[in-house]
Amino acid sequence: MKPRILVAILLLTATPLFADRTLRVVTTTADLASLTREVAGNRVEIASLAKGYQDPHFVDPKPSYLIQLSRADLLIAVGLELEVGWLPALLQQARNPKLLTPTSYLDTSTTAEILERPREQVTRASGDVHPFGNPHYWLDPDNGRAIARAIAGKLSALDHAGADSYRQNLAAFEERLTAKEREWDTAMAPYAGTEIVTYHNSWPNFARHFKLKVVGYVEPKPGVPAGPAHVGGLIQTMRSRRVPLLLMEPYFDSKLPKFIAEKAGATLLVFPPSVGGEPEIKDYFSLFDYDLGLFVKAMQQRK
Amino acid sequence: MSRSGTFLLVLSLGLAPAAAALDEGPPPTPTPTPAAGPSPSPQEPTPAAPEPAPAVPETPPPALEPTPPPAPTPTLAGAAPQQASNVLNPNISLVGNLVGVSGGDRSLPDRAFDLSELELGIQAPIDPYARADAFIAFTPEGIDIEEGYVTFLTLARSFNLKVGKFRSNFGKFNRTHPPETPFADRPIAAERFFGEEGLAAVGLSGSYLVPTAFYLNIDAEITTIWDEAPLFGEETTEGEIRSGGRRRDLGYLFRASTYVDLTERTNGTLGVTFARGVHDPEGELASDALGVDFTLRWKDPRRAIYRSFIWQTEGYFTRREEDSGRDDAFGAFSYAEFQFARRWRVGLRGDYVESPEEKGALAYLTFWPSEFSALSAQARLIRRPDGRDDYAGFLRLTFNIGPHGAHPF
Repeated sequence: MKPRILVAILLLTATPLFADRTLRVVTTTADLASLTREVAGNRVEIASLAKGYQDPHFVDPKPSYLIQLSRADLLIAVGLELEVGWLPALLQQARNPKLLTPTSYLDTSTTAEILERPREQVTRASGDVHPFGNPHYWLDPDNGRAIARAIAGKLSALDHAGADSYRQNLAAFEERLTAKEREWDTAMAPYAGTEIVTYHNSWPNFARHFKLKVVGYVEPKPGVPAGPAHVGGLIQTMRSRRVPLLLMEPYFDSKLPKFIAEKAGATLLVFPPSVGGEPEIKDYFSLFDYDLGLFVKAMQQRK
Repeated sequence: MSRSGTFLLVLSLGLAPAAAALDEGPPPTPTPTPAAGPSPSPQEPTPAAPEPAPAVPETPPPALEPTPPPAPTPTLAGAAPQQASNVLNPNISLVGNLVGVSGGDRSLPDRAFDLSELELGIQAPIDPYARADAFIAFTPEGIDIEEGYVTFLTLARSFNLKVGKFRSNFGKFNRTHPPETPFADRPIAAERFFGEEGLAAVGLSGSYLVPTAFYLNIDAEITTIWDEAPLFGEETTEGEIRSGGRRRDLGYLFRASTYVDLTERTNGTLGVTFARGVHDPEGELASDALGVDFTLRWKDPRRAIYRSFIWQTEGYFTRREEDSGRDDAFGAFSYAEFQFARRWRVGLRGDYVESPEEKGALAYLTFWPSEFSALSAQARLIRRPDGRDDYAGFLRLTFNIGPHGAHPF
């Protein structure tokens, strides 16, 4: 029995690595996959683990993800512990030594502008607070630009032959993004200063870029369900400040937000925070097109 | 359910509270979890990034950074000075399991309440090549090294090697630490064959992810004969289990498991395990165990925190050579758990084991205030070999502080 097992292990581990040279990139979220696609075109193979309609905090570490991770040449993650509930478990079991080196791992939070870095000691008494800052930073288009640049840099380092192509794609992406930003900013300009309430604290970067003011959350603390006192207080705040909109991420139950919006006289918007959150949100651009479209339409209807 | 329980239920249904979204996976923690490897990864305790992330100017010329900013590394240079000494500390976590018992079942402890276990976990990468994990259990019986092993991560692609004391990869249930199982007790079959703590031993464990299009994993383990497992030992006059064999007698274990996504919401796992060792002090009489395990899970990823379902079954076919001949016995358990609200789960387990025949059932209702604590009321009925029915009730509180390590899916 003993020698047979050893021989089996040796034979299996000696299986030659896949011979083709296409880079395999795995991203944790669909947003990072979309930005990678912008920079890489069809030069690399891209797979995203979480779908855009999933809560990125709560993803099951399914063994099928291990197959993708075990073959990956590069892993791109949001970081700031957004994926702490599932990515460490996957990485530990993926048995891909490459992904354990900085060369093949990109945490895009290192290049983006991060808000809400806690200054004091964080404990779980505050709920699911992210101890290194708010991880929903891709929702500011300026951060999208920074992420795309970091991805281009990483891809060029791993695939020198493609460097020119990545540079051109990045330039085209940035040009398009700049034009789009102008369009989005113009559309949102009339609503600068609008106060909103959101379900989870997913929107600080978005709110800052589009000059909105988040005045409350359905969750009393991140990840903690609301009690009656909090709900009552929130409704009162929304009424007294005439908050027009309540934004909720699509993966939450809409019963409570509907109740709050109705009592407070606000409009409830299901606001996808990620690419793929709705079938028509196919890339990073259509994510903002969709959300801002909803926002503007709702505000116009309230007049 | 008591009146206050009903009240909580009403509250939770109306207001949709928190729940563990990962069935066996690690809870999403706001604190760092043990790193997958000695690498810069998102879970490394990296204090505020060293370089302030610059705001991107309006329309800068597109330029590739020749060396993109490195992922955060837990180096002293990158750490805030006052926290530097903590950065390289291992992750420490504590899981507590408080159990209250009622009923006339004489196989259970005499005392009404017991802090049945405090499990201390200490985990960290050792160097770029390996990591260490230790779990020390403090129980009313004393201190026990539950697990303590080194995992070599970079020996070969798709391959890990574990060296040390660890829970054996027999089925899926055996690897789960007792406080983290959904039950206040252990399934009868698991306890009858593998003991109160399950199969654990010192040795080597290799795990290989076969590079195929579907998921296939192979594990092979060579260890000492399993401690305190009735199948692999003899009962002493004091009622303790003495493991079989002499120094050169080892235990061998082989496992193959596969996983399939049936739909986006439903997936299944199937595993087969074979273990062999000796049970007598001279090491002449062999014991074999063949285990088959099957798990079906359901969860809508669009509503991951609210509803889930799991059905898990394990069957054990055991054979024990005796001087007088062979002793074959079969045992199995099957349980289903349904998360019907964000904080509530209800479960039912059936038990069967033969020669002598015992049957049992366990039903439970568990309330999860957050992913880090659970309060469970459980009721159990066992029909003993002599035909007697033993009833027992359990009340169980489990809590978890610190970034407890990742568990297999």
